[in-house]
Amino acid sequence: MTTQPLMRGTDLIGRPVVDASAGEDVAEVQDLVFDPADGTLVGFTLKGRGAFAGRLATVLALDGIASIGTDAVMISGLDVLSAQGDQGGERVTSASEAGEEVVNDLVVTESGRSLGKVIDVIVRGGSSPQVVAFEIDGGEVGPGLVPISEQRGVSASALVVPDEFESRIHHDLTGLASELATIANTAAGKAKS
Amino acid sequence: MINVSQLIGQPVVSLGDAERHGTITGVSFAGNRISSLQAGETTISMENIKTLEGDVITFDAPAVDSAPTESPPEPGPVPGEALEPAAGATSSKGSHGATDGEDAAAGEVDVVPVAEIKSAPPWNGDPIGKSLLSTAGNALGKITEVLVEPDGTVAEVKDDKEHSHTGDRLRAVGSYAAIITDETNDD
Repeated sequence: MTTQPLMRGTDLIGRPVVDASAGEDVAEVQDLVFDPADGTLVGFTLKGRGAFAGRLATVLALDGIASIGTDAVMISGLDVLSAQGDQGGERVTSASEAGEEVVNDLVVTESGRSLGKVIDVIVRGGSSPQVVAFEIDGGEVGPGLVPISEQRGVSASALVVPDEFESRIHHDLTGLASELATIANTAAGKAKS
Repeated sequence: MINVSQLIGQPVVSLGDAERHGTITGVSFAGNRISSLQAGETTISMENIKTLEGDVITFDAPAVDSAPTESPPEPGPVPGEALEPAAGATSSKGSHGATDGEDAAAGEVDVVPVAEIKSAPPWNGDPIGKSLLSTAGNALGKITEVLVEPDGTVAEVKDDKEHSHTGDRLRAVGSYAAIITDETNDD
């Protein structure tokens, strides 16, 4: 099984959006948009290419993405781009307008210990991209990566993790990838039994 | 087998009037096939080309299109349709995009409707040196050679990492990159 790349959300900003059917870079990622209800990634707002280009009147919903790679966000054609407010981009537009943040959310353990704030998200690329972890910092434990499955709850302002999480914070993407693989294997084992 | 790198710069002669039409300056692709050749301002459809082999490219006239080599100007802001920034949809939200200051520095929001994005003309040019991108979104290197059959079908694409990609994996060649179907095993 091919391992999909892990990348920081900040690294996706400015990444070109490429139409695979034409070999053209039609836009670049301006911002990641999250569903305020559960913090899931729902899509991107876009801007034009070039130093002086501004925001585009289009959004790219997650289900319109063919793949997120290390160098580009791939789409199968221009028809997946949605004008803001159009049916295809409604969820992205409304979430964007809600202005809810994942970054800067406080991270606390179940027993109330503050571990810092979310400073970035970790996205697993490939053909089914999703946020798999948060990067935290500013707390007593220092910078680290939290697998998203570890959270016990998410609100508009806080992320709750189990008490024992402190001993399982990862400090690099390699370690996180290993943990995520373990989590996936465990879940697959439980599903079979 | 024909090397596209040798195709560029070949003289072009029309069979009808034996006139020379300059030299090949660019190649256009439709999927994994050459769709046309560019000779200066003249676009020659592949179906009118007698052969890609030999020292001179010959074609049947008068099925020759004269077209400007320059791409049309980039679409600018649409008058009367300036986008008002959505409430709360600032760059400080959600993640970590451009700051409000950067948006301000970019001036008015440059609104490009989806319909105008669709109007980009097909690319033609020299594919040698062009970036190679997989359909997964990963850079594979730069094209060092494209080998084509006499009928214009791409047989092989070589990159600067000494990998060879079979021609049937070529999806498109545009101004940004040539797109190759993603595979885990390359030659």
